[in-house]
Parts: sequence; C-alpha cells; structure tokens
Amino acid sequence: MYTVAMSVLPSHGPSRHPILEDFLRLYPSCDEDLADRVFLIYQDLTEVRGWWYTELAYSDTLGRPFVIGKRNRQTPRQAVLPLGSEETISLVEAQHMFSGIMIDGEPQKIITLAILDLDSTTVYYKLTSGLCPPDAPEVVTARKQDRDRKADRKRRHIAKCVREANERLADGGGTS
Amino acid sequence: MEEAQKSEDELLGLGTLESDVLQIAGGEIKGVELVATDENLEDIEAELLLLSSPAPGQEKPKPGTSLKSALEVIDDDELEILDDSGSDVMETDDLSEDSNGFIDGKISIFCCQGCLFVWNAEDAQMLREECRVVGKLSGCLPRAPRQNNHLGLPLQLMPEEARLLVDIDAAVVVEEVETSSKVQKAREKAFKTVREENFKIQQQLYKECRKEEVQHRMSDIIAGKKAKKRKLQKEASEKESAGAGAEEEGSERTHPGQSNERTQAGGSDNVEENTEEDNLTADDIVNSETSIKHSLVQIFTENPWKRSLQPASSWNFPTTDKDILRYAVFKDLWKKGYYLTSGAKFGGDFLVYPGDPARFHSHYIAVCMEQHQEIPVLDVISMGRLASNVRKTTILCSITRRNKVVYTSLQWTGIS
Repeated sequence: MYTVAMSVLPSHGPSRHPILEDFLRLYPSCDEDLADRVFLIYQDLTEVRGWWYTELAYSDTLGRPFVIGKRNRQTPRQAVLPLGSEETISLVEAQHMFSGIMIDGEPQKIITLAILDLDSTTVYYKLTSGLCPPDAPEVVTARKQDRDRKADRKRRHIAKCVREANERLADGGGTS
Repeated sequence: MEEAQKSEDELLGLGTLESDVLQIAGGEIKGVELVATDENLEDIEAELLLLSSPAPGQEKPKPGTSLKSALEVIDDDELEILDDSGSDVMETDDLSEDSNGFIDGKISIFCCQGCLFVWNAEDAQMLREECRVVGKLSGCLPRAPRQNNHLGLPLQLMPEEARLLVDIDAAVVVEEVETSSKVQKAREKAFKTVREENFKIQQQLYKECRKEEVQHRMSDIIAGKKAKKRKLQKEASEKESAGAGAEEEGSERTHPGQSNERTQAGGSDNVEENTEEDNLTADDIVNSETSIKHSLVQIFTENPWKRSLQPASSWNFPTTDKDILRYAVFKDLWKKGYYLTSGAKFGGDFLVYPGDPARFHSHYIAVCMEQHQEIPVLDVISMGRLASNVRKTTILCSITRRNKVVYTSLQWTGIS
C-alpha cells in the first residue's frame, strides 16, 4: 500500500466534510486541529487502507478524538489514536491512554498509534499494555499457509480467465 | 572419553601452549616480574602457597599426557584448580574456610576496577544452568589466542546480574586482600621451581617418546646411514681418481698400487662400519635436548594461589535512579522466568530470551525509562521499527512510585 497524497488539512468553513461537521457538532469541546488530524486518519483508513468499518470517537478523559475501526470483517474493533510527529509521549500518558480510550465503555489493552507527519505520511504502531508475547509458531505457519492459499486461488482464477479468453478468441477467429 | 576430557580442558581454559612467553591469566601472577631472590623465605608458611614445587621421585607420567595430568601426578592436593575429584575439592573448601568463611559455598564474583568476573568454570556453568544468569565470556581462549569470535573465561557479569545473585544469596562479590611482597616473592620462587620441574619432566617425556619412535624405525635408519656412507665413499673415491689423473707423471708408477691400497682400505672400512651401524641403538641417536623455549606452559584461567578474599566494600550497585530502574526491571523479568542479556546490540537495556540464549532467539528488547520521561514520537517509531526488523518486540519498562514494574509493548502494525 502507498500513502496517497491527501489534501493537507482540509480547509474550514462550508467545505468541511459532512462527517467531520457532524462529529464536531457532537463533541463541541474537541480541538479543531485535532479533529482535522483525526479526520485525515479516518480518511486514510477508510479510503486508502479500505478498512471494513470506521467511526470517529472522542475520549473525554484524554480530550482527544480517535478512530474506532475494523480492518476486516473478522478482526475485532480497535482504537486508532492520531499523534503528530512533533509530539512527545511518556509512559504515564500511555497508561492513561489504555484507561481513557474506551470502546463501548470498555478500556482497551491495545491501542494503535497513528503517527502523522506534516506531509500527511502516516505510520501505525501498536501499543499493548503489559508484555505482548510473539505469536506461536503454529499461528505463524497457519497464517502463512492461509496467505499462500489465497494467492494460489487468485492465480488459478486468473489463469482460468486467460484460458477462457483464449478459447473464445480462437472460436471467434475460426468462425469469421 | 578423551573427547570429553579435551572439551573440558578447553572449557576450563587449561589448554597448553608452546611458548617462550610467560602466559598466566590468573590475575595477580600476570605481569609479575620474575626476580631471583636469595632471601630466606622459609619463615613463610608453606600453606600460603598452593602452587608448590613437585616432589621428586614420584610416579612418572605416561608419555603423551598433557601437562595438566602431569602436574596432577606430581602434586595432587597442592594445585587447587587442577583438582578434579570431589574429595580434593572438599579439601580446598575446608582450607578456604579458615580465612574466607563468608563465602560459605557461594559463588565468588571478583570485583576488579568496578567490573565483575567469575573465574571458575564450574561456577560459570552453574550460573547459566541453575540461576538463569548468562553473563558474557570475555577472556581469550588459550588455544585460539588471535581471534575474538569465541571467548573463554572469565565470565563478565552485568552489575544487575551480580546484584541479583547476591540478593538471592547465591554469590558474594569479593576482592582480593593484597599480598605482602614476601608472599609475592615466595610465590615467584615456587612458580619458577614448578616451571623448571615441569621442563625437566617434559624433557624426560620427550626423550622417551623420541626413543620409542626411533626404535620403531631403527632398521630404516641403519639402512639410510649405510646408504649415505656408501654414497660419500663413492664420491670421495671418484674425486681421488680424478685428482690422481692430474698428478705428475713421476708418480705414475706408484699410483696404481696406491689407489689399489686405498680401495682396499676403503672396503675394509666399509665392513667395519657396517657392524658399527648395526650396533647402533636408540640411545645413541636420541641425545639432543629441547630448549626451554619449547616447553609446554600451563595457562591458568583462575588464580591458582591460595589467597585471602574480602567482601568488596567499594561495590554498591545500584545507586543512581537509572541503575535502580534497570535493576528493578531486570529482577522482575528474571522472576518471570526469562533469560536476560545486555541489550546494547539493539539499542535497548536488555534482551529478553524465553530460554537459554544459545537455543532461543530473544523475544523482546527491553528499554528502561522513567515513567514521566517524555519520549519524542519519532523515537517511538525508530524503536518499534528496529524491533520489527529483527522480529522482536520493544518493551518500554518503567517503575511506579510503589516500585511496581509496568511494561508497555510496542510493535509495528505492518501498515506503511
């Protein structure tokens, strides 16, 4: 995936996106710059990454907006918190994030940080409270097999399309 | 069996080297100037010296045995670190209890200029197997001195490792009580005697070996000698006849007779020497001595002298806030069953292994930071990205005001 150059910080006023307008109306205490930033992440996840589900949310305790989203149909919902690349973060703040960012009133053990540079380059890092053990070897191999199977299915499908097209062309050539 | 013995020797660093340089890696002996002394040293107790001169008239060691075993034969109980049998170890334990009672069966960690070392091979192994403390080997291998891919004793410990061992009562951090110049001189003398005696024994062994070898090939040697002699004689007679041809004509008459006589004499010589060479024995051939330059030298990886130790009073880790934090994190992760090594390789404080580092890759790079320390977000990116590149997870570790260790794991999500 490549980062698509987006309009750097949408301009204010009537041209603001209706979703963002609705969000600001819902949370009037939200800082407008932060709102613009979270909307960039929202756009990135929705349009560029093609996430299954995205939604804007706001944490009163942190005073920060964030995105709740699902990468695909199977994965659980996760919180994505935008941070500017010029910001700093301390471990106490990180602990506050785990308690302050809620999905359906549930505090999250895992938060994805979306780190935004001024040119809208975004990288996503996962913060987990406590030790996050690596995946078991079985899980890793299962995932790899799954990926291989998908790629294989796709290749076979494309090969089939090409074959059929060739046959059609050959038939057409024969009749005319 | 031989293989096992060999590897054990390597582990102990008891390899032998052909060398003309005094190579002793045993702490204080290193670099000691060997000055001959005529002083009366008899008033020094023999007990102060573990390394003492071999007693004469002992059983001869078999040829081909290493110096280590040769020394064992010479004097079983006087070279502490060469003892393999359990009873001898007990003996030395008893000895050390007199002056070093505080050690009391614990592992001795030597504090040297603020660095911490374990010199004993068994202790080093025990630390890894029993205590999950890995340390880092930092000594040169006697058998492979010109490389540093593989290192040997001593085992250097991180201060956190040493503190943990002290806290769990498994070890004591000690330093050596400085020895008097008198003892030093006595040691020098004893050391020189041992070397001289070793050289003598090696000389003897060398001769025996050589004799055996010569004995095996005696027939070849005699045949070779005869052939050489014949060749020389042939050359000599050819030369002579050529020289005779160039001689004055006046002597022509006598010449044939002379040459005849000569060949006859040569022939009789030949016969005589044949018998002489047949009587040649190995003793006649093996009479050369090897130079002291080529003698085998025992290299000690642990100080072989009996010495008195004292608790290292100067060592008081941890003192700074950073050290206290690091130690708290180290201890907490160790308690969770992990193995830890220095994390300098990956820019962290520790590397965290799920098992012995020789068999597992590390799971985490632990980075210790004070909980209110502001981390630039760009640093978070570099830590997370580096860890993902080496298939690890960064853990950011801090302690709360109640000294509870808090971990936050950081991973790259894989999205750009």
